[in-house]
Amino acid sequence: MNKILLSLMLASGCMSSACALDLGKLLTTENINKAADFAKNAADAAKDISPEAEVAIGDEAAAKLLGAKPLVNNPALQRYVNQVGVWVASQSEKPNLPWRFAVIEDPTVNSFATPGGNILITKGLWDRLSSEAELAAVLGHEITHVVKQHHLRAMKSEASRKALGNLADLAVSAKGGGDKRQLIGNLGKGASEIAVRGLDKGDEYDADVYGMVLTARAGYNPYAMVTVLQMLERFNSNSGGLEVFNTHSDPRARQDVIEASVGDKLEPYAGGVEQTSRFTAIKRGNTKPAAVTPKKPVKR
Amino acid sequence: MKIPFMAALLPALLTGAALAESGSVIRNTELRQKPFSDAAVVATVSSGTQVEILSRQGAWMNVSSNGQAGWVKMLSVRVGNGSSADAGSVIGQGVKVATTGSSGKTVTTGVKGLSEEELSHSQPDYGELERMKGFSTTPADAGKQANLARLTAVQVPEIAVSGSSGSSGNGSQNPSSNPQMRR
Repeated sequence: MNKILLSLMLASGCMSSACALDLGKLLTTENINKAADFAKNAADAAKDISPEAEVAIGDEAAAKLLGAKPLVNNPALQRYVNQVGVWVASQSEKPNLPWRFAVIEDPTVNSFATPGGNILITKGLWDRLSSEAELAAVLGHEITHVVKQHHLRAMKSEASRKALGNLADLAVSAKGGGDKRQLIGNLGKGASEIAVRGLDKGDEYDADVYGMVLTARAGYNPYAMVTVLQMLERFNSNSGGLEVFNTHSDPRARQDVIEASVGDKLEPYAGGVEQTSRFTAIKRGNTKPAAVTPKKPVKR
Repeated sequence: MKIPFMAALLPALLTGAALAESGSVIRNTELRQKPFSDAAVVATVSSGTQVEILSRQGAWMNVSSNGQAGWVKMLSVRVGNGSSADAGSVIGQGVKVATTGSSGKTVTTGVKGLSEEELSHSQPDYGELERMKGFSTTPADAGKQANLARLTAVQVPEIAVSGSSGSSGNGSQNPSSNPQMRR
């Protein structure tokens, strides 16, 4: 376990460019062989990491994100996004992760996922969503990152790329014994940085396409994903590109990939639910939870 | 009685400020009378034509162009006052914009929101994490609430991603050359 954590720690050890390395000093045969070993360990790390460690890393990352941007102080809204999020996540291959969803106090339009199942969307994004199907699509996108362990893989590849540069750091921490809590802390920091910086475009496309599948499975119109992307596109062009949807690829490119991959394959599900009364109630600021009123059978 | 009220409220919630939404068609497309593939064709619009977006339904979009209204596939339209309406170059631009350097990582410049720098100055807030956990729910409860919202789970097979290979961003990716595309 410790070995895995150690090799994964490479991901967070040297994020800043200030961490320049003296290649000349490090390029001995012995070190190169060591580096190759570490890169190999790192490549296996995401696969081998236990579900518990994944959750611990994810919680650390979420705490870090929440330290920068707190929860929106609206319990009804927070409970509501969990109702929708857990329902969508239940359609994935990992329904039993400790899924948690939240809206954070940030005016820009963005969303984040950490390993283990923490998903945060900004207030700016929530304010611009116009239906529950759109919310489901956004959450489905982020759920995909978690289910397919995109962040863990990003940490892993970061580790491989930086293996040489981290040899010195690693030698020090290996000698020091390395306290597990500290390792988790560092890994969480690495994961939150990746969440903010963004993933590879390929992972984003994957999350769009599989997110649409999850949205359809949950009974919504999956093309709400396209509506969200078009909202982002409009938003980008209106704001002069200042507040870009920074951790996600260009909306046009994403629509092109959706068109090539999904096209009309999900049209049989396009008649799915678009809007719900619970969404409009939360948007209206009616904080009475929908769960309290089901006594009266829904009319018509 | 509830329903008409909600319906009346919806448009206000929907687009907020930007009600007049416009876009351009990215390929020669038929404008149909109804949002169905076999509905009657009202007109043909050529690639690059500017359209006004009236509404959306399912996978379709109700648009008007040159005084004629009709339905096109949502994915045949890109919104905004498209600088370049030519489909090929739009795709090229998209890839270019989205790529920085050779890593294929997404753009991070000009960000005003939660940034890496901001993050590096923040302390983990475990109290807030606990509050967040307090709002979570179980799959069983979420399922019950979903059913009350008239949602039912549907079997949908997974779909492979295509048209996204080549993160080098040379703009040669053209989805319409994909054999799966039939439009």
